[in-house]
Amino acid sequence: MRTTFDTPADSARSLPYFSLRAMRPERKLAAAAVFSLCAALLSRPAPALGACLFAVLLLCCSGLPLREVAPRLASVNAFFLPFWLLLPLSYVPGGDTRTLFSLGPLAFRTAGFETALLIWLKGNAAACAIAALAGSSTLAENGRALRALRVPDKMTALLLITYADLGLMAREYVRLFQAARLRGFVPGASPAACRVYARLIGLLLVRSRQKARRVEQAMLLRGFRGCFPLLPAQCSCPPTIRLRNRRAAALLFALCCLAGGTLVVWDIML
Amino acid sequence: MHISEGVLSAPVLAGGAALALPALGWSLKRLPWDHIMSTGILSAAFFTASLIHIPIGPGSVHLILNGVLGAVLGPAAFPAVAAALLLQALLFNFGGLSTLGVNLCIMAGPAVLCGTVCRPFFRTDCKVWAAAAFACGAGAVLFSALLCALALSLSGEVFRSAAGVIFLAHLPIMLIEGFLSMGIIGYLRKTMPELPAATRPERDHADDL
Repeated sequence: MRTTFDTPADSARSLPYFSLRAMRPERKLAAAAVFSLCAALLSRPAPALGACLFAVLLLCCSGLPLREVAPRLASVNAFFLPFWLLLPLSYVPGGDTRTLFSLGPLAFRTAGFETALLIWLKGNAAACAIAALAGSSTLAENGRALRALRVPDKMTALLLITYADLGLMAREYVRLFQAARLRGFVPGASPAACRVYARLIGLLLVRSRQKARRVEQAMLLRGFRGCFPLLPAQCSCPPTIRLRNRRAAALLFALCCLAGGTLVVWDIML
Repeated sequence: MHISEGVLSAPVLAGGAALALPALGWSLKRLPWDHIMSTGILSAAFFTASLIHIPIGPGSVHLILNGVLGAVLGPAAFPAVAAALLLQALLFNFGGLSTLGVNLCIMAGPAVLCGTVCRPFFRTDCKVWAAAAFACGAGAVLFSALLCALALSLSGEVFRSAAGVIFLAHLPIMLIEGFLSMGIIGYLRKTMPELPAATRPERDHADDL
């Protein structure tokens, strides 16, 4: 199990000042949301291909390390694998019996293949855009960005607290799991193994509750009054570059909206 | 369980968002600030538990545990699942941004429903608690799989077969989750009986001090 949870931006701190990494996270997050929504609305392969190419271009411009981005895209494509297998075999729209190729008794239909291609392109377009735009900010920056985008304070606080304790809980589980392995536990789906898993998870919940209680008490003792203040964003850039990055972020947001809108209009006109 | 970007149609995405946003707003309003910390830390524990892969034959299945989440957090499961889905989208590219509403309905709706219905039985002394715990875990996965299949089916005739396959693939997970929920709730009954619904708002925070 992984015990570190970072965005690609965490391992790309050495990128130059003037890059996607340095732009304002709220603009990038809004651009990612608008673009992925536009990509979801497409219904033809040609505009979907356009969206995918635009998103890949964004990803190339982001300068994020490939070793960080590749596993994210691999997980997205693993989701689409069953669709590539199922849709060409099962989808036969009224009267359309065009066959792409046959493997013995299995006929792979063109209509199903086209649909699988469409959703694959749309899914990858959105995934590349999110990886490039949201992935080029750290989680803390994205949390601040959500607050700037008027997401309720409680929601952003919950997101950041969950993220802050994620690594700790994962390490705690790994420790408990290793202790169980040392006592002869063999992972599996047998009733005995399920009992051990249940106790491990139960113990994890008990530990997390105890930790939560300690933190709550500490917060109350320090005068917690229902507010989760976030420190303002710190930028080491010179003011001229900061201004240029701000303008570039606004331009990027406008470009993503324009590209998404153009692709949707193209899709409707086809 | 949750659906990636690019698959669902616009009406389904809009419908999911229209259902999820008021539910999320209601549960956030109901969640006091004092309990944000415990909800966040328990949410992190559930996120970690959902990363556990149980080997079955040549493959493995990962846990969902939304039934236990609903039993432990109550209506606060809505924002907890929303935070987890957002984290999954930002950290791993699982799910997505436009599908957040639908995925929230799929994961959190059954969690809150099964948790709320089954929780009163957890404190009974007879064996009813075991049946309720099994029903909570298995029922939440069953309803989530049904909602997932429904979202796919409503997105077009083309996805009907995929919806059927996804639903059938979740049946063994449903059984595993049922037995695991029984074990987890049984463990919590012995070690920390107050944990189910630990963050319910009506509870006076002074009890903890």
